[in-house]
Amino acid sequence: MADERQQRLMQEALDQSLTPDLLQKLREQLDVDAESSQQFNRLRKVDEMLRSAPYERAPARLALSIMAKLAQTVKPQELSSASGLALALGMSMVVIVSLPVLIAASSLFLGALSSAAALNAIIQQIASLMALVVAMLDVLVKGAQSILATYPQAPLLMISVVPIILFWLLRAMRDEEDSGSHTRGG
Amino acid sequence: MSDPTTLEWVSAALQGDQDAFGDIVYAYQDAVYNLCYRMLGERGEAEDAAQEAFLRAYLNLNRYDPSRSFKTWVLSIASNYCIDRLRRRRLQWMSLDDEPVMDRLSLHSDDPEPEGATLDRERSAAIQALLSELSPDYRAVVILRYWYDYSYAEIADILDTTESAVKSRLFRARQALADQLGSDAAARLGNPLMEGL
Repeated sequence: MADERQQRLMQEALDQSLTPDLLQKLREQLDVDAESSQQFNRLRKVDEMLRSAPYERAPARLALSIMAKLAQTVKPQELSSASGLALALGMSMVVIVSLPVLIAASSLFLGALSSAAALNAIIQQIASLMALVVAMLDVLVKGAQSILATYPQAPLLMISVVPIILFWLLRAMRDEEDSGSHTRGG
Repeated sequence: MSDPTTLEWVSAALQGDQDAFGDIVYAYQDAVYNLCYRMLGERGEAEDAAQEAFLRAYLNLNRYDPSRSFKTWVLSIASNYCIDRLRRRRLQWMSLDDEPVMDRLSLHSDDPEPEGATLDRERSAAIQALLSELSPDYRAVVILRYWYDYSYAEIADILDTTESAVKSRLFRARQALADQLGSDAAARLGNPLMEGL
């Protein structure tokens, strides 16, 4: 029976990683040890059998079935609950803000249809209102620019104040709820 | 490292181009299928496993390191999936696995086939019967070494283990296969397995 060292040499011989000297040594050992020689022959047969093993080709339908499965599995990314909530809130705010404006505009438009002079006056008023808004925005931007030039840390300060204000608002709302429940309870 | 075409396909697939991933599937399906078939020993199961391996590759494409060979990466996914599947199967089929390997070598088919094809099929089935006697970890090493000609270092990388562990597993696997092919079994087979040796 081959000892551990001999077995290692046999494996290395199969991997063709033995030096010629060690290979010669292994041959000499196998020549005088019939059992080890048989063992090496079996190992060599296994090695040759595996080397000659055929390669299995994929069936023609495999790629198609993979792509079909992929199309089923990978759906467009769904919105996460947080982003869905944010979208709903945003839409609600847009509706709330635009509803009175739409109502007012519709009423004015219906009234103006009966009089060309009134329609002209409304268009002029809208134009002057827009000019006023643009002028106000211009003033605001210039003011912000001058503050930024004087105090570069101002935007950072303003951003850091936002969570404090939010916290204060939440606390005020909670206090309000507490006092309401006490009033109902009492 | 992968060839530039594969890297282009990977890049396009990462941007949601499923056709580019289709090109990847066509390029690597034989390699993945052969591995799955040799690991699992059954064509239907091999198809399922190859399908699963490609789906996992697609879903984890952003984790692929372009400095590695894509083939090595996808074979790593397939082999680990097959090893897990074999371990689960072993638990389920423990009682059915008592049939000696040589009794399972029913090598003759009723379909008329060219002699060469029949011989290949028989040899393939006989090798498969022997491989099925190895544990999943040993089987993976033998397959990656003999069918893909990977070095010990590459196999260690694919199976997430060490080179010495790979060497040791291959050593024991060959020994176990040699024992299976003991002189009496070889005499009983006396055919495709030994043909051309």
